[in-house]
Amino acid sequence: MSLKVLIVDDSPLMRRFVERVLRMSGLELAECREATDGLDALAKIRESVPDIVLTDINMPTMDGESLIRCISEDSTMRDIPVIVISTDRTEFRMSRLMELGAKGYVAKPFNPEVLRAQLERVLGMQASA
Amino acid sequence: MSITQPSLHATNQDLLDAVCEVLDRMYFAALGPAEDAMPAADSALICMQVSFRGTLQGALWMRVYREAAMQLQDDFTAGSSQLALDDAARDAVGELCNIVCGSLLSNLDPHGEYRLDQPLPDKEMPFGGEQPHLSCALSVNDSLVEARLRWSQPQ
Repeated sequence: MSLKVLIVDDSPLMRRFVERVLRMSGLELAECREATDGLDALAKIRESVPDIVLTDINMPTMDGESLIRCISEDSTMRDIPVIVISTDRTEFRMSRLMELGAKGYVAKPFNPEVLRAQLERVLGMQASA
Repeated sequence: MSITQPSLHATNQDLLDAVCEVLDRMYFAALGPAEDAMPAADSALICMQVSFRGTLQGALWMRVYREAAMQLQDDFTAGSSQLALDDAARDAVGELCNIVCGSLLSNLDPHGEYRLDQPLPDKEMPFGGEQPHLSCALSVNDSLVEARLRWSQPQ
């Protein structure tokens, strides 16, 4: 399966890193687009629907929580799975994000195997040997 | 040194472990003990600070030599960053600060609630000259990296 991925993070370095890790993990990427915050992400999703959204939480203009809420409440977007990538592993934050509709959570710092496992779990893909 | 503050029990080793974990997993850096002391001031050093608010408030401050920061940036993005060199070096240290701070707070206070501000360039003497509660230094890719953390009860 070739994946269409949208990476949402206000840090250009972090966006580069996530794309690098996706490629390192051996996933076939049909498309890897970037957004700088939640508002930008919603615009990019309306242009072309991704298979999955990987988002940071702490961003200016529209943060990750608001982005997940918007996706969950929009009938044209609510089937797009969202995985959160964040340093914040506090119980409060994680339970809140899952309640809002996030399908997975990858805590920074992480390595390629962790991100790949989350993607495969969320997308229901078979892990390759 | 072990410091106990209300709601946050931490040692310098906790800070060092957090810095090492991030540098190892995300920057693929070669780590070792710091064998030399960092100078009090050096124009070749990049200093960045991330402030946090919530259950506690405070800041994590880090400084890295510019050349080492460029190497970290290159390893982090596999050379794909399109930023100007100085911006990329500052961003690499800022992102490092951000990840270390968030990870450390989550480890030390998993029931807490925190919000991190954007990383900002800072002076070579952080916290208005007040002593940090935690500090550590280590060798990273044959250079030196230093981190200091200070916190207080929210007002």
